[in-house]
Amino acid sequence: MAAVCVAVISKQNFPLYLRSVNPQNEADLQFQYLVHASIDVVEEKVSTLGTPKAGQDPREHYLGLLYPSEQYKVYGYATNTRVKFILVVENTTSQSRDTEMKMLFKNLHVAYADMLCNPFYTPGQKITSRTFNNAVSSIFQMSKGFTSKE
Amino acid sequence: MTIYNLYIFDRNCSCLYYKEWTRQKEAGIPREEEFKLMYGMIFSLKSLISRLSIISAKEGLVGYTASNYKLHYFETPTGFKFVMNTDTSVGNVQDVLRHIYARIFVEYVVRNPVARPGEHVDSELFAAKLDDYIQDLSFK
Amino acid sequence: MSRQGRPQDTRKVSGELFSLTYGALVAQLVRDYEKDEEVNQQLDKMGYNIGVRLIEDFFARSQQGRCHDFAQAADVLTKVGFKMFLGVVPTVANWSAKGDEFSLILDQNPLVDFVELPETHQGLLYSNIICGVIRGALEMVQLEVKVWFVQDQLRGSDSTEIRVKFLKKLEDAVPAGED
Repeated sequence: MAAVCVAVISKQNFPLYLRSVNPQNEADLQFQYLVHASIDVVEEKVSTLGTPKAGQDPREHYLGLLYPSEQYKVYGYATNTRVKFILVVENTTSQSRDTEMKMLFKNLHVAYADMLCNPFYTPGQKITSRTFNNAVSSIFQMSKGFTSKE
Repeated sequence: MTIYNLYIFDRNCSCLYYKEWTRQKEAGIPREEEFKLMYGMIFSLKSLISRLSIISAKEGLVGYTASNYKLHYFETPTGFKFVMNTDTSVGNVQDVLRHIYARIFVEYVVRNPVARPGEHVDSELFAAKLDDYIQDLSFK
Repeated sequence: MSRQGRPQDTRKVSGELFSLTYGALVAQLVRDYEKDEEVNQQLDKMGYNIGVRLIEDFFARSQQGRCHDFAQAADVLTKVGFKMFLGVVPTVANWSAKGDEFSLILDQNPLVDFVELPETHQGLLYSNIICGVIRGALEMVQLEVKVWFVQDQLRGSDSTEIRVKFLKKLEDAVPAGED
Protein backbone atom coordinates (compact mmCIF):
# COMPACT_ATOMS: atom_id res chain seq x y z
CA MET A 1 0.00 0.00 0.00
CA ALA A 2 1.85 3.08 -1.18
CA ALA A 3 0.26 6.48 -1.11
CA VAL A 4 0.80 8.29 -4.38
CA CYS A 5 -1.09 11.52 -3.93
CA VAL A 6 -2.13 13.82 -1.10
CA ALA A 7 -4.71 16.55 -1.49
CA VAL A 8 -6.17 19.13 0.87
CA ILE A 9 -9.52 20.65 0.02
CA SER A 10 -10.99 23.68 1.72
CA LYS A 11 -14.41 24.00 3.29
CA GLN A 12 -15.68 25.54 0.07
CA ASN A 13 -14.28 22.60 -1.91
CA PHE A 14 -11.46 24.67 -3.27
CA PRO A 15 -8.17 22.82 -3.72
CA LEU A 16 -5.54 24.05 -1.23
CA TYR A 17 -2.87 21.52 -1.92
CA LEU A 18 -2.24 18.64 -4.27
CA ARG A 19 0.95 16.75 -4.52
CA SER A 20 1.80 13.37 -5.98
CA VAL A 21 4.78 11.22 -5.18
CA ASN A 22 6.42 11.91 -8.46
CA PRO A 23 5.59 15.44 -9.57
CA GLN A 24 6.99 15.01 -13.07
CA ASN A 25 4.65 12.15 -13.68
CA GLU A 26 2.05 12.92 -16.30
CA ALA A 27 -0.47 11.11 -14.18
CA ASP A 28 -0.67 14.35 -12.19
CA LEU A 29 -3.68 15.49 -14.13
CA GLN A 30 -5.28 12.16 -13.54
CA PHE A 31 -4.92 12.66 -9.79
CA GLN A 32 -6.66 15.97 -10.09
CA TYR A 33 -9.57 14.21 -11.75
CA LEU A 34 -9.58 11.50 -9.13
CA VAL A 35 -9.57 13.96 -6.27
CA HIS A 36 -12.15 16.14 -7.93
CA ALA A 37 -14.43 13.19 -8.47
CA SER A 38 -14.08 12.21 -4.84
CA ILE A 39 -15.50 15.49 -3.59
CA ASP A 40 -19.08 14.36 -4.21
CA VAL A 41 -18.56 11.24 -2.19
CA VAL A 42 -16.89 13.25 0.55
CA GLU A 43 -19.82 15.67 0.65
CA GLU A 44 -22.25 12.84 0.98
CA LYS A 45 -20.31 11.20 3.77
CA VAL A 46 -19.73 14.48 5.56
CA SER A 47 -23.42 15.29 5.58
CA THR A 48 -24.09 12.15 7.60
CA LEU A 49 -21.28 12.94 10.05
CA GLY A 50 -23.50 15.33 11.96
CA THR A 51 -25.95 12.56 12.84
CA PRO A 52 -23.78 9.69 13.95
CA LYS A 53 -25.25 6.25 13.93
CA ALA A 54 -25.33 4.26 17.09
CA GLY A 55 -21.96 2.92 18.09
CA GLN A 56 -20.12 5.44 16.00
CA ASP A 57 -17.78 7.95 17.56
CA PRO A 58 -19.16 11.40 16.75
CA ARG A 59 -15.63 12.76 16.73
CA GLU A 60 -14.58 10.37 14.00
CA HIS A 61 -13.00 12.25 11.11
CA TYR A 62 -12.02 9.29 9.00
CA LEU A 63 -14.37 8.79 6.08
CA GLY A 64 -12.92 5.50 4.89
CA LEU A 65 -12.62 4.29 1.33
CA LEU A 66 -14.37 6.74 -0.96
CA TYR A 67 -14.15 4.68 -4.11
CA PRO A 68 -11.75 2.38 -5.87
CA SER A 69 -10.66 2.86 -9.43
CA GLU A 70 -8.73 0.40 -11.55
CA GLN A 71 -5.33 1.56 -10.44
CA TYR A 72 -5.98 3.44 -7.24
CA LYS A 73 -8.04 3.64 -4.12
CA VAL A 74 -9.18 6.98 -2.80
CA TYR A 75 -9.54 7.60 0.94
CA GLY A 76 -11.01 10.60 2.68
CA TYR A 77 -10.86 12.44 6.01
CA ALA A 78 -12.74 15.53 7.08
CA THR A 79 -11.94 17.80 10.00
CA ASN A 80 -14.60 19.44 12.14
CA THR A 81 -13.99 22.62 10.22
CA ARG A 82 -14.82 20.69 7.07
CA VAL A 83 -11.38 20.80 5.57
CA LYS A 84 -10.93 17.57 3.69
CA PHE A 85 -7.86 15.47 3.20
CA ILE A 86 -7.72 13.00 0.34
CA LEU A 87 -5.17 10.22 0.01
CA VAL A 88 -4.80 8.24 -3.18
CA VAL A 89 -3.10 4.89 -2.75
CA GLU A 90 -2.10 2.25 -5.24
CA ASN A 91 -4.70 -0.45 -5.70
CA THR A 92 -2.69 -3.52 -4.88
CA THR A 93 -4.01 -6.91 -3.99
CA SER A 94 -2.99 -6.50 -0.39
CA GLN A 95 -5.74 -5.12 1.79
CA SER A 96 -4.90 -1.77 3.28
CA ARG A 97 -5.87 -1.51 6.88
CA ASP A 98 -8.08 1.23 8.27
CA THR A 99 -5.84 1.72 11.29
CA GLU A 100 -2.93 2.49 9.01
CA MET A 101 -4.94 4.86 6.91
CA LYS A 102 -6.17 6.60 10.05
CA MET A 103 -2.63 7.05 11.20
CA LEU A 104 -1.57 8.62 7.93
CA PHE A 105 -4.52 10.99 8.07
CA LYS A 106 -3.81 11.79 11.69
CA ASN A 107 -0.26 12.80 10.77
CA LEU A 108 -1.54 14.84 7.90
CA HIS A 109 -4.04 16.57 10.16
CA VAL A 110 -1.32 17.47 12.67
CA ALA A 111 0.92 18.79 9.91
CA TYR A 112 -1.97 20.84 8.58
CA ALA A 113 -2.73 22.28 12.01
CA ASP A 114 0.91 23.25 12.54
CA MET A 115 1.02 24.83 9.11
CA LEU A 116 -2.12 26.78 9.90
CA CYS A 117 -0.40 28.23 12.96
CA ASN A 118 2.08 30.08 10.81
CA PRO A 119 1.02 33.70 11.21
CA PHE A 120 1.88 34.43 7.60
CA TYR A 121 -0.57 31.90 6.26
CA THR A 122 -4.07 33.15 5.58
CA PRO A 123 -6.65 30.37 5.80
CA GLY A 124 -7.93 29.59 2.33
CA GLN A 125 -4.62 30.29 0.65
CA LYS A 126 -2.81 27.68 -1.40
CA ILE A 127 -0.44 25.78 0.84
CA THR A 128 3.18 26.42 -0.04
CA SER A 129 4.79 25.73 3.31
CA ARG A 130 8.08 23.86 3.30
CA THR A 131 7.42 22.11 6.58
CA PHE A 132 4.06 20.91 5.33
CA ASN A 133 5.72 19.62 2.18
CA ASN A 134 8.24 17.75 4.29
CA ALA A 135 5.47 16.27 6.38
CA VAL A 136 3.72 15.05 3.24
CA SER A 137 6.98 13.53 2.00
CA SER A 138 7.29 11.62 5.24
CA ILE A 139 3.71 10.42 4.87
CA PHE A 140 4.58 9.04 1.46
CA GLN A 141 7.57 7.33 3.03
CA MET A 142 5.53 5.98 5.88
CA SER A 143 2.90 4.50 3.62
CA LYS A 144 5.61 2.57 1.80
CA GLY A 145 6.71 1.20 5.13
CA PHE A 146 3.27 -0.29 5.63
CA THR A 147 3.58 -2.27 2.42
CA SER A 148 6.77 -3.96 3.43
CA LYS A 149 5.09 -5.27 6.55
CA GLU A 150 2.45 -7.14 4.56
CA MET B 1 4.28 52.61 66.64
CA THR B 2 3.26 54.88 63.86
CA ILE B 3 3.88 55.32 60.20
CA TYR B 4 3.84 58.99 59.38
CA ASN B 5 4.12 59.32 55.65
CA LEU B 6 5.49 57.86 52.40
CA TYR B 7 7.12 59.39 49.33
CA ILE B 8 7.73 57.55 46.07
CA PHE B 9 10.20 59.15 43.66
CA ASP B 10 11.21 58.02 40.21
CA ARG B 11 14.65 58.35 38.71
CA ASN B 12 13.89 61.74 37.23
CA CYS B 13 13.47 63.46 40.60
CA SER B 14 9.72 63.67 40.35
CA CYS B 15 7.53 62.59 43.18
CA LEU B 16 5.12 60.00 41.80
CA TYR B 17 3.14 59.54 44.94
CA TYR B 18 2.80 61.01 48.39
CA LYS B 19 0.63 59.83 51.21
CA GLU B 20 0.46 60.76 54.84
CA TRP B 21 -1.17 58.85 57.62
CA THR B 22 -0.25 60.88 60.66
CA ARG B 23 1.41 64.18 60.40
CA GLN B 24 1.40 66.74 63.15
CA LYS B 25 3.60 69.40 61.65
CA GLU B 26 3.76 70.75 58.12
CA ALA B 27 7.08 71.77 56.63
CA GLY B 28 5.72 75.25 56.06
CA ILE B 29 6.53 75.25 52.36
CA PRO B 30 4.47 74.18 49.35
CA ARG B 31 4.27 70.41 48.87
CA GLU B 32 6.19 70.60 45.62
CA GLU B 33 9.05 72.36 47.37
CA GLU B 34 9.02 69.79 50.10
CA PHE B 35 9.35 66.98 47.53
CA LYS B 36 12.31 68.70 45.96
CA LEU B 37 13.89 69.22 49.34
CA MET B 38 13.40 65.59 50.24
CA TYR B 39 14.80 64.36 46.95
CA GLY B 40 17.72 66.75 47.22
CA MET B 41 18.56 65.57 50.68
CA ILE B 42 18.38 61.90 49.67
CA PHE B 43 20.52 62.60 46.66
CA SER B 44 23.15 64.49 48.65
CA LEU B 45 23.17 61.94 51.44
CA LYS B 46 23.69 59.18 48.94
CA SER B 47 26.61 60.87 47.27
CA LEU B 48 28.14 61.76 50.63
CA ILE B 49 27.77 58.21 51.83
CA SER B 50 29.38 56.74 48.77
CA ARG B 51 32.18 59.31 48.81
CA LEU B 52 32.99 58.73 52.45
CA SER B 53 32.48 54.97 52.24
CA ILE B 54 35.35 52.83 53.49
CA ILE B 55 34.29 49.66 51.70
CA SER B 56 32.35 50.04 48.48
CA ALA B 57 29.78 52.37 47.09
CA LYS B 58 27.01 49.79 47.05
CA GLU B 59 23.79 49.78 49.05
CA GLY B 60 24.45 53.06 50.72
CA LEU B 61 21.54 54.74 52.36
CA VAL B 62 18.95 52.79 54.35
CA GLY B 63 17.69 55.65 56.47
CA TYR B 64 18.51 57.77 59.46
CA THR B 65 17.15 58.36 62.89
CA ALA B 66 16.42 61.82 64.19
CA SER B 67 15.53 62.54 67.79
CA ASN B 68 11.81 62.16 67.24
CA TYR B 69 11.30 60.39 63.93
CA LYS B 70 12.97 57.82 61.75
CA LEU B 71 13.41 57.93 57.97
CA HIS B 72 13.57 54.70 56.02
CA TYR B 73 14.87 54.51 52.49
CA PHE B 74 14.62 51.83 49.84
CA GLU B 75 15.81 52.11 46.26
CA THR B 76 15.24 49.68 43.40
CA PRO B 77 17.95 49.01 40.81
CA THR B 78 15.71 50.82 38.34
CA GLY B 79 15.89 54.00 40.39
CA PHE B 80 12.55 54.12 42.16
CA LYS B 81 13.01 55.56 45.62
CA PHE B 82 10.72 54.81 48.53
CA VAL B 83 11.00 57.08 51.56
CA MET B 84 8.98 56.40 54.68
CA ASN B 85 8.90 58.28 57.94
CA THR B 86 7.96 56.49 61.13
CA ASP B 87 8.35 57.01 64.82
CA THR B 88 11.66 56.05 66.37
CA SER B 89 10.54 52.77 67.93
CA VAL B 90 10.07 51.14 64.51
CA GLY B 91 12.76 48.67 63.51
CA ASN B 92 13.98 47.79 60.05
CA VAL B 93 11.26 48.22 57.47
CA GLN B 94 13.24 47.39 54.30
CA ASP B 95 10.98 44.39 53.80
CA VAL B 96 7.90 46.53 54.14
CA LEU B 97 9.18 48.98 51.55
CA ARG B 98 10.16 46.13 49.29
CA HIS B 99 6.69 44.68 49.69
CA ILE B 100 5.15 48.01 48.76
CA TYR B 101 7.33 48.06 45.66
CA ALA B 102 7.02 44.46 44.53
CA ARG B 103 3.46 43.62 45.44
CA ILE B 104 1.68 46.93 45.29
CA PHE B 105 3.57 49.43 43.16
CA VAL B 106 4.58 46.99 40.43
CA GLU B 107 1.27 45.22 40.53
CA TYR B 108 -1.04 48.20 40.31
CA VAL B 109 1.06 50.90 38.70
CA VAL B 110 3.76 49.39 36.51
CA ARG B 111 1.51 46.66 35.23
CA ASN B 112 -1.34 49.04 34.58
CA PRO B 113 -1.20 49.65 30.84
CA VAL B 114 -2.81 53.09 31.03
CA ALA B 115 -0.43 54.39 33.67
CA ARG B 116 2.46 56.01 31.85
CA PRO B 117 5.92 55.67 33.32
CA GLY B 118 7.06 58.88 35.01
CA GLU B 119 3.60 60.30 35.56
CA HIS B 120 2.05 60.99 38.91
CA VAL B 121 0.23 57.95 40.23
CA ASP B 122 -3.46 58.55 40.67
CA SER B 123 -4.70 55.01 40.61
CA GLU B 124 -7.35 54.61 43.27
CA LEU B 125 -6.76 50.90 43.38
CA PHE B 126 -3.10 51.46 44.19
CA ALA B 127 -4.00 53.95 46.90
CA ALA B 128 -6.53 51.57 48.42
CA LYS B 129 -4.17 48.59 48.38
CA LEU B 130 -1.38 50.63 49.88
CA ASP B 131 -3.62 51.92 52.61
CA ASP B 132 -4.91 48.43 53.40
CA TYR B 133 -1.40 47.16 53.68
CA ILE B 134 -0.22 49.94 55.95
CA GLN B 135 -3.29 49.59 58.19
CA ASP B 136 -2.69 45.84 58.43
CA LEU B 137 0.92 46.14 59.50
CA SER B 138 1.22 44.66 62.92
CA PHE B 139 3.07 47.58 64.44
CA LYS B 140 0.48 50.08 63.40
CA MET C 1 -9.84 39.93 43.05
CA SER C 2 -6.75 40.48 45.06
CA ARG C 3 -3.68 38.96 43.53
CA GLN C 4 -1.33 39.40 46.44
CA GLY C 5 0.25 36.03 45.95
CA ARG C 6 1.52 36.73 42.47
CA PRO C 7 5.28 36.25 42.85
CA GLN C 8 4.58 32.64 43.64
CA ASP C 9 1.85 32.52 41.09
CA THR C 10 2.18 29.46 38.92
CA ARG C 11 -0.57 30.24 36.45
CA LYS C 12 0.70 29.93 32.94
CA VAL C 13 -0.56 30.52 29.46
CA SER C 14 0.02 27.92 26.85
CA GLY C 15 3.20 28.50 24.92
CA GLU C 16 1.31 28.01 21.71
CA LEU C 17 -1.20 30.70 22.55
CA PHE C 18 1.71 33.00 23.27
CA SER C 19 3.48 32.34 19.98
CA LEU C 20 0.21 32.59 18.07
CA THR C 21 -0.57 35.92 19.68
CA TYR C 22 2.83 37.26 18.83
CA GLY C 23 2.49 35.86 15.32
CA ALA C 24 -0.80 37.63 14.80
CA LEU C 25 0.79 40.87 15.96
CA VAL C 26 3.72 40.60 13.57
CA ALA C 27 1.52 39.55 10.69
CA GLN C 28 -0.67 42.58 11.27
CA LEU C 29 2.36 44.87 11.32
CA VAL C 30 3.56 43.35 8.09
CA ARG C 31 0.18 44.15 6.55
CA ASP C 32 0.19 47.69 7.94
CA TYR C 33 3.68 48.76 6.93
CA GLU C 34 5.19 48.64 3.51
CA LYS C 35 8.80 47.96 4.31
CA ASP C 36 10.26 45.21 6.42
CA GLU C 37 12.61 47.75 8.00
CA GLU C 38 9.64 49.72 9.27
CA VAL C 39 8.15 46.61 10.80
CA ASN C 40 11.47 45.81 12.46
CA GLN C 41 11.54 49.31 13.87
CA GLN C 42 7.99 49.05 15.20
CA LEU C 43 8.78 45.75 16.85
CA ASP C 44 11.84 47.28 18.46
CA LYS C 45 9.79 50.19 19.74
CA MET C 46 7.12 47.92 21.17
CA GLY C 47 9.78 45.81 22.77
CA TYR C 48 11.32 48.90 24.34
CA ASN C 49 8.00 49.89 25.89
CA ILE C 50 7.57 46.38 27.21
CA GLY C 51 11.14 46.29 28.50
CA VAL C 52 10.89 49.44 30.60
CA ARG C 53 7.96 47.92 32.48
CA LEU C 54 9.05 44.33 32.43
CA ILE C 55 12.21 45.16 34.33
CA GLU C 56 10.07 46.22 37.32
CA ASP C 57 8.23 42.96 37.17
CA PHE C 58 11.56 41.24 37.03
CA PHE C 59 12.81 42.92 40.21
CA ALA C 60 9.52 42.40 41.96
CA ARG C 61 9.71 38.67 41.31
CA SER C 62 13.40 38.03 41.75
CA GLN C 63 15.41 39.20 44.72
CA GLN C 64 18.02 40.42 42.30
CA GLY C 65 20.15 43.34 43.40
CA ARG C 66 22.26 45.70 41.37
CA CYS C 67 24.88 44.16 39.07
CA HIS C 68 28.56 45.06 39.50
CA ASP C 69 29.62 44.83 35.91
CA PHE C 70 28.44 44.13 32.41
CA ALA C 71 29.40 40.47 32.53
CA GLN C 72 27.23 39.93 35.56
CA ALA C 73 24.38 41.78 33.87
CA ALA C 74 24.68 39.42 30.89
CA ASP C 75 24.57 36.48 33.23
CA VAL C 76 21.48 37.68 35.05
CA LEU C 77 19.80 38.66 31.80
CA THR C 78 20.08 35.15 30.40
CA LYS C 79 19.84 32.92 33.46
CA VAL C 80 17.12 34.81 35.28
CA GLY C 81 15.48 37.19 32.82
CA PHE C 82 15.10 35.01 29.75
CA LYS C 83 14.24 32.05 31.91
CA MET C 84 11.53 33.95 33.73
CA PHE C 85 9.79 35.43 30.72
CA LEU C 86 10.56 33.15 27.79
CA GLY C 87 11.43 29.90 29.53
CA VAL C 88 14.69 29.47 27.68
CA VAL C 89 18.28 30.18 28.70
CA PRO C 90 20.43 31.55 25.90
CA THR C 91 24.16 31.00 25.89
CA VAL C 92 26.36 34.04 26.37
CA ALA C 93 29.23 33.89 23.90
CA ASN C 94 31.59 35.81 21.67
CA TRP C 95 32.68 38.45 24.17
CA SER C 96 34.58 41.26 22.54
CA ALA C 97 38.15 41.86 23.70
CA LYS C 98 37.11 45.00 25.58
CA GLY C 99 34.32 43.17 27.33
CA ASP C 100 31.68 45.60 26.18
CA GLU C 101 29.94 43.40 23.66
CA PHE C 102 28.52 39.89 23.75
CA SER C 103 26.20 37.57 21.88
CA LEU C 104 23.15 35.71 23.06
CA ILE C 105 22.80 32.41 21.29
CA LEU C 106 19.30 30.99 21.30
CA ASP C 107 19.03 27.36 20.29
CA GLN C 108 15.33 27.57 20.76
CA ASN C 109 13.13 30.56 20.27
CA PRO C 110 9.60 30.14 21.58
CA LEU C 111 8.35 33.02 19.45
CA VAL C 112 8.93 31.26 16.16
CA ASP C 113 7.33 27.89 16.84
CA PHE C 114 5.24 27.67 13.70
CA VAL C 115 6.67 30.45 11.62
CA GLU C 116 7.88 30.27 8.08
CA LEU C 117 8.93 33.60 6.63
CA PRO C 118 7.24 34.28 3.32
CA GLU C 119 9.59 34.71 0.36
CA THR C 120 8.56 38.32 0.01
CA HIS C 121 9.61 39.29 3.54
CA GLN C 122 13.15 38.06 3.80
CA GLY C 123 14.20 41.36 5.41
CA LEU C 124 11.85 40.88 8.33
CA LEU C 125 13.41 40.39 11.75
CA TYR C 126 10.55 38.41 13.17
CA SER C 127 11.73 38.37 16.78
CA ASN C 128 13.07 41.91 16.81
CA ILE C 129 10.83 42.65 19.78
CA ILE C 130 13.36 40.82 21.96
CA CYS C 131 16.01 43.41 21.04
CA GLY C 132 13.70 46.19 22.14
CA VAL C 133 12.86 44.48 25.40
CA ILE C 134 16.54 44.04 26.26
CA ARG C 135 17.30 47.63 25.36
CA GLY C 136 14.39 48.99 27.38
CA ALA C 137 15.04 46.83 30.40
CA LEU C 138 18.76 47.56 30.58
CA GLU C 139 18.18 51.26 30.13
CA MET C 140 16.15 51.25 33.31
CA VAL C 141 19.15 49.88 35.21
CA GLN C 142 21.34 52.67 33.84
CA LEU C 143 22.90 50.64 31.04
CA GLU C 144 22.55 52.10 27.60
CA VAL C 145 23.01 49.34 25.07
CA LYS C 146 22.62 48.66 21.41
CA VAL C 147 20.95 45.36 20.56
CA TRP C 148 20.62 43.77 17.14
CA PHE C 149 20.12 40.48 15.37
CA VAL C 150 23.21 38.86 13.88
CA GLN C 151 21.54 35.78 12.53
CA ASP C 152 18.14 34.22 12.73
CA GLN C 153 17.02 30.63 12.42
CA LEU C 154 14.09 31.83 10.39
CA ARG C 155 16.48 33.09 7.78
CA GLY C 156 18.23 29.77 7.45
CA SER C 157 20.94 30.10 10.10
CA ASP C 158 21.73 27.30 12.52
CA SER C 159 20.95 29.31 15.60
CA THR C 160 19.57 32.68 16.53
CA GLU C 161 22.19 35.18 17.62
CA ILE C 162 21.48 38.53 19.25
CA ARG C 163 24.34 40.95 19.80
CA VAL C 164 24.36 43.31 22.78
CA LYS C 165 26.79 46.22 22.88
CA PHE C 166 27.36 48.38 25.94
CA LEU C 167 27.31 52.07 25.05
CA LYS C 168 27.43 53.99 28.29
CA LYS C 169 26.35 54.11 31.88
CA LEU C 170 23.46 56.44 32.56
CA GLU C 171 23.41 58.48 35.73
CA ASP C 172 20.51 59.29 38.00
CA ALA C 173 18.96 62.63 37.30
CA VAL C 174 20.46 65.39 39.41
CA PRO C 175 17.93 67.61 41.13
CA ALA C 176 17.97 71.26 40.20
CA GLY C 177 20.55 73.27 42.09
CA GLU C 178 22.82 70.30 42.83
CA ASP C 179 26.13 69.44 41.26
